[in-house]
Amino acid sequence: MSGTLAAPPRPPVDERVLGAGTGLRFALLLVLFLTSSATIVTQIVQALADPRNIRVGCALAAGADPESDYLGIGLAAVRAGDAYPACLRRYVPTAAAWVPLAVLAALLIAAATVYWLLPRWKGRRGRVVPLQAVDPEGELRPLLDELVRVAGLSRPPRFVVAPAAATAGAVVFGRLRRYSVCLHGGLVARRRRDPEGFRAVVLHELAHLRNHDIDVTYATVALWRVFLVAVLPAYLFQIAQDLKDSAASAILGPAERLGTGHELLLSGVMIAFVYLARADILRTRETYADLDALAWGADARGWHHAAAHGTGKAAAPGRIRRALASFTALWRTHPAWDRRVAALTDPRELFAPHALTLFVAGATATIAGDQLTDVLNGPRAGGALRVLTALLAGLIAAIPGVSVWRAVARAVLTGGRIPTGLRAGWWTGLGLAVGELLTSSTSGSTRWLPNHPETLTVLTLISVGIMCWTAQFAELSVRSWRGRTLRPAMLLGLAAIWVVFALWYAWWQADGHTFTTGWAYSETGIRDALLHDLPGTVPADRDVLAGFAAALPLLLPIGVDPFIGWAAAVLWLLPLLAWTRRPATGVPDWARRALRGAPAPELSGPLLPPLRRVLLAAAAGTALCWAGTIALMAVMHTWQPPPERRYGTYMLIHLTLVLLVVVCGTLTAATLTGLTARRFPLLVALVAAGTTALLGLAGAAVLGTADGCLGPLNTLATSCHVLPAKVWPTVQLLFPLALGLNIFVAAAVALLCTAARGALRSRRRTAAASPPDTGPAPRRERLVLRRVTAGAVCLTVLALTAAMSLPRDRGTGHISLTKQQLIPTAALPTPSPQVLAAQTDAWLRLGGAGLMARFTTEVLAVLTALQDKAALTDRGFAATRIRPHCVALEHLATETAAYFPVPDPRTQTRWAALHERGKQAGADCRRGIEEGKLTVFAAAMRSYVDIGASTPGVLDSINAEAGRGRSGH
Amino acid sequence: MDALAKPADGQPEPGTGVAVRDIVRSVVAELAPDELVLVEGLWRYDDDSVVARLAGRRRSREPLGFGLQEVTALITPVAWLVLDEAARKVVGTAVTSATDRTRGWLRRVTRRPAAVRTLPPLSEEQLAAVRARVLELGTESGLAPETATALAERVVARLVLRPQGRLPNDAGSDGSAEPEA
Repeated sequence: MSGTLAAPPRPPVDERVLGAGTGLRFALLLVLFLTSSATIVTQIVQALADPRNIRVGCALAAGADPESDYLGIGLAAVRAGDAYPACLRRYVPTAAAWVPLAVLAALLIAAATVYWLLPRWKGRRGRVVPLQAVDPEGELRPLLDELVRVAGLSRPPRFVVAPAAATAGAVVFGRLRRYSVCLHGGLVARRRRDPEGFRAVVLHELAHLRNHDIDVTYATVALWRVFLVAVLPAYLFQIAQDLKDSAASAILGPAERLGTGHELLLSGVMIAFVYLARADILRTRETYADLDALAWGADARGWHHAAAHGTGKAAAPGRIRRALASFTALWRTHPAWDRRVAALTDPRELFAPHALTLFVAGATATIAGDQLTDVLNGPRAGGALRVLTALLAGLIAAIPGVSVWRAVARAVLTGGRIPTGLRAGWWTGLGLAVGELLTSSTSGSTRWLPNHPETLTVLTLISVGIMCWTAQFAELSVRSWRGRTLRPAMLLGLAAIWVVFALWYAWWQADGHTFTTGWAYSETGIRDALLHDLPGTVPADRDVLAGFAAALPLLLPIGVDPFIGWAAAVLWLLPLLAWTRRPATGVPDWARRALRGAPAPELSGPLLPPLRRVLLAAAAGTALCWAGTIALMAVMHTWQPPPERRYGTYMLIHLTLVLLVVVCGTLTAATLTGLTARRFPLLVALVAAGTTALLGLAGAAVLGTADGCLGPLNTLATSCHVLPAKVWPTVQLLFPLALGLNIFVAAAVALLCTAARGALRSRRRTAAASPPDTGPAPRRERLVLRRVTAGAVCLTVLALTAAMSLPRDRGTGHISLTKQQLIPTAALPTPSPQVLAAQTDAWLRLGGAGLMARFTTEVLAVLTALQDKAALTDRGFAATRIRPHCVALEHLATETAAYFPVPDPRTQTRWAALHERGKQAGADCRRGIEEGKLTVFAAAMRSYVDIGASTPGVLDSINAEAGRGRSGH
Repeated sequence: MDALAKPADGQPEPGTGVAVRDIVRSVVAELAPDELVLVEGLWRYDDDSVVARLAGRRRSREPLGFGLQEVTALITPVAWLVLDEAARKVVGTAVTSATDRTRGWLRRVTRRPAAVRTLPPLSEEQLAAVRARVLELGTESGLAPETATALAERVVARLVLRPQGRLPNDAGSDGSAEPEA
């Protein structure tokens, strides 16, 4: 901190130069209330509807092992295919969908009632008296009216007095435009002795009114009181019930207890986070109210006096005591007095949020996001989930985003060090990762942590990248913005990161988070499917396809998202537009207002490197792309298979190599600019990368169009026809990767380059230390040229991205990969004997026993009929007495195949064989009777006799397996 | 209140007592006119409520308050609490039982007027005790020593010079509201 102290005094910046961002944080708290309540209500309603927990029974019957991890349990359900949802539909009683909604609505009504009644309670007759009742001579009224006028309130509040309160304070409360300011007795009594103090306190309260703090504050209070009084006790009661039930089960018990512990920890931490976040927001609002009161003419001595006499004075000496004091200060709704006094002259805290603020925002947002996913995981709720996840992503990105914008604006105006966005991104990302660890969707029932917690660093990286971009884009905008307010610039920047974060957050919620539990895909399965669809025609195609099989699960979900093109375009087109602005001189209006008349620094000047320098780097990258494409076409020409076999692995490898060449060119351009650009390295590198990718892809498209006429470069085409339409499918395939995912990779590379350069030079960048790029003043014709170039690039990218987002006919690209092939089979763990017994028991109870009984009955019926002498002699007898059972056994085999396999694989083999033979015999029996072939019929009957002999053995094995666990279940 | 109707230890009839609140108001008017607003505010409540509120030290942390927990040293609570305590002691109800509290609550709910607490003429020892108690509580509440002494003097003087200091309107009307025990 010594560096800060030594810094020269800086002009104070109007704290309202940009929005405070507290509204967003309040919104996040409200979202968390809704998702938590919805989750708990759904759980309770589900538990009441399904008291015997048949849902778990279905999972057990499907082969889920409560002792395995989350991935194992999830995959068991997937592996069971349609049998699992069928079991849920058939056996698990569910409450009507409106029940949780109705309960949630009731909770909201209760919260609204609390919100409505709180002011009545606070302003009840027994506690406060109206001002006119104690001030009949009208001594106080004019004074208060004057203060209301100063505060510029169009609707004056009601003033009341709490005569018995000896504190020299005041408080404001109320609801929807009906507000009251309650003056404490101590304050009223010292109004003459300490008129400045009186003014300060009342103006502070009026500032809360002007800043609309009351409604959101009391809405939050009301919601959380309802949560703590109504939802939480119900939840704890349910947890107690669960724990009681778990004591009765030796197999599910440990898993349930661990899961319950996880949930309890999550709930505890979540409540702590909510209180921390609320206190933090309120502290910010207090500082705003202080500054407003000061601006309206309150005397700062009011605060100095309070700081000298207040209870929250500076912490006592001693490291532990100081740490304790700062810890307790986190939970207070008012900042410590020394901080409040300091903020009056330099509100820097309003421009640089506490790390904990960002951390808690990140963590609460992930918790809310996961709860949202849990509540809306039904098949019909997919669209709603996507929309709500995108909205939540907007909140997550905007909270640190606003803080970065504010910090950058202040740094630019005061000539301070421009933040890099690293800190905001890191703390938010850490919050996201910790929130994810707290929710149980990543770890299994047998562990506290997921198998691969390191995957969570992806969240942190995304957050850091987005915030670094925000910091640079904010600086660029702040330095070049000419409007009356800076808000539109910030809104544009926030909208951009909203789009980007929404994409990545949706990917994380849908696919990304599964990587924390392990690799959920079978590489061999994917490779075999690819081999089947794309017959091998190049050397070592098995290895190549194995590489594909490994990369596809990573690339496919995010790489083919039609949204990715827009998200990537936003990242580099917005900075590109900065070159189209006319360089302006003088201090813009917004900066003059923000500095309240203090001399403003020169904001304008050549900020960005000349566009031609960026385009030069892009040209180098593009040249690499084109040369690479030509080279690879030349190489591939030597492998060229006969025309009819060019569309298998050969084409796949061709496309992949084209993509790799474009990626290499793009990354080269990004690296060049990232290493050389002195200002805005990330933005400049992205512009270079985007332009390179676009031109590189265009080169590949041109070469592809001319394919067939290129002699030694011919690869795919068989004849010389220059047809642009023939490369359109290729462009459609490569565009989302080259101008989507590739741009994000380029951003990561550019950030690495910046970091490496920073580490090498180990020099801190300050606005003062790094003079703007010197160069000739931009000429008029150059501006036109820049505008034409940037406009052409933007229009092309937007048109192409729009074309890619159009719905496409996907019917032509069928591949034979099935869901079963996708699931890994190698890592199937062998369940313990107890679990196997429980699984077999569930298997029997939820349909297996019925199948067994019907099978036995049908086989017995055939065998009984065979006792009759007419069975083999009388066709009519066979048709009426035996044939129906043969048909039934055929159907039963189909039904058995649709049901779960027997949990023990060895028994399953015997059980399946039994049914297979039953089905075969049934078909033979039917054919024999219908076609009058006695030998076929007799063979079928012999089969039945054999089946009858082996059935008891199989059934006994299953029953014995289940019986082993009966005592423990 | 029954104890007042049946005078103990040679106490005079209730009609001769002076209301605690009257004494408080006149003392506050003389010593701290700024606090009269508070006395006016408290005037609306019965004595039990006033004492309960003044004695309560509960400091709620309001989310949108100014955040100042500093207590202003006021003479109103000191005077009211000491005189109320003295009035209770004199009539032998120093400790309020749970039944009394319930009765008080029921009365408030049904909005029946409560009896105004009065002080009979005090003996010299009793006056000395009141004086000492004012000084003690005044110091505890953070009053400056000279303010506490002045308050003690005024309270005792007011108790001695009862008839003159009585406020005819308020005391008369409130006194008539006293129920027949």
